[in-house]
Amino acid sequence: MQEQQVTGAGVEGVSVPAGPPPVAPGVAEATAGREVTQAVSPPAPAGPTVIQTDEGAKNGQTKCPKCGATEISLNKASGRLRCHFCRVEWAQGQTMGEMGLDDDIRQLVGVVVGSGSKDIIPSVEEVVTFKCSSCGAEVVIDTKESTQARCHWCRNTLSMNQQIPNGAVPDMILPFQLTKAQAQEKIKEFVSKRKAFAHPKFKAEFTTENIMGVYLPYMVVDANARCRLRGQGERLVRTRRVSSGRSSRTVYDADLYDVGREFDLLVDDLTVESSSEKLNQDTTSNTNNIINSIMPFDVKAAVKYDSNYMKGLSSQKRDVNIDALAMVAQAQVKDIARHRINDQIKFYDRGVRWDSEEIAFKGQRWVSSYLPVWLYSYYEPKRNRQGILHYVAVNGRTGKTMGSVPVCQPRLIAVSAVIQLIAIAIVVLFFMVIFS
Amino acid sequence: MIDFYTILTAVGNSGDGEGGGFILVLLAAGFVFYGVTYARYRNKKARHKHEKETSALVENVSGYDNKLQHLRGLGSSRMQGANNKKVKGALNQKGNKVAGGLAGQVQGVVNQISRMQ
Repeated sequence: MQEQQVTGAGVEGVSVPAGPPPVAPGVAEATAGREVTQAVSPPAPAGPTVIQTDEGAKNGQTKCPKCGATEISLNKASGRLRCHFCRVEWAQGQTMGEMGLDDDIRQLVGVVVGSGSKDIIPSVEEVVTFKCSSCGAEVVIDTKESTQARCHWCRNTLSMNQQIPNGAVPDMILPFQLTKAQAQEKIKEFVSKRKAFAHPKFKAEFTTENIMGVYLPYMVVDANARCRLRGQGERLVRTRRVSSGRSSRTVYDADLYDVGREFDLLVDDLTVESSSEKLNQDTTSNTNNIINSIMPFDVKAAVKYDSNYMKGLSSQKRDVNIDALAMVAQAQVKDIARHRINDQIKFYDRGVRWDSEEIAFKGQRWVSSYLPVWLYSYYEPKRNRQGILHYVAVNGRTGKTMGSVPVCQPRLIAVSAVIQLIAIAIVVLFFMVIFS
Repeated sequence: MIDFYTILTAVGNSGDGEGGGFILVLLAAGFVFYGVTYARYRNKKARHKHEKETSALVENVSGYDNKLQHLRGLGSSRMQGANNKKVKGALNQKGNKVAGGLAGQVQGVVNQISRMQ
């Protein structure tokens, strides 16, 4: 609905030169009164195409290629695996590109999923048992906590690298690149800037010694979509002041247009949490939005999943299927479409109201991945209601840091009140000087 | 001697003048300080800006622009109902009705999974 027109003479105006709507580069024939129609997306093949991502993966002992030891872990400084015995380092696993998970998005048709992204079957056991190939003992791995365990008899490490439909083994893993010391420094720096009004108990207990390196589950989504947006836009023509009695105000004259844009949108590596706990970002009861805010990750550097990348670190298992995440991904793709097309509608400097937003997905690709996060957590109990777990999170690749620090409310309110009183006193003095 | 009422009237009238905005901000200084400090500590609005930070390409653009009418004397500097900069897919946005709806749906999924576990 448009605003009412103001009657009465306009006084001194600032004119904005009117001109025809620009034809932005790539816009084909923006002709008056004629809507340009485009081909609708091709029919998608029935059922998703599955790319097997655990081909050649073995459960049990994975050995150092040089000395045969099973004491292998990630060297965070180099991002490569290192043998604890002979210190040799090597890069394990194929990259996304080598596994066919990063092919040209323009060619993406239908739904393509990595085999580690398939639906979770609730009946699949979380605890799996392996036979140690060195001593024959049975070793139990609780996939909810880890995908590795040590044989109690011969002390060899056993790994689970083959996928079972319980969400424990993803398609890809992005190894940590930031060391614990670097993450501690980032967290310390973040908190030290927020100590003045921090809760006294938090200040007394804060230490970065207990920060944890965690691999959190995400879905990395590529989308090939055809978007069609229709609505109305306004272009400013003139700004002027109108007066009524002693007061005056600014009013605006504008041209109203019917606007439509149709385009292909290629979204690369949209990242969505795939843990039900982390998807819950209700900021009145948790601080999961903090972990969300340290994205994006450089997921192009992710490699085929190998449990050895997780040694000494913890992880959280995926528990949400693609169907449930689709609504989040689709809403975010729509946001991307709306924001990217803003470059093409700059002519409408007062804004555009899109009344219809249609997005047809020609193709989409879903890849499950573990992404690295350093986490500091602090539980703040609350009187008469559930407490809040505060996080300070550091992106394990880029070092991007964000956090939530518990506030000492009495102190903050007291200081705010003092500032308020001083400000009022300044205003009163100002007017007393003027009127005296 | 001027009374407090005179000052209040003067402050009220100053809203129309050049320095009026500054005086009104000064009068809310304590509230502003509280809000800014709390936001800086708790970061409730922090989120991944997926709409800007996700890599994406726009290709094969076509469209139309048809002038409908000239509007005079509009009161706002922005178009009423303009939504071309709106974000609806963020999960921590309570104020946004549509995002709230999305957050609600996601919460439904979360609850369903919790019940299954």
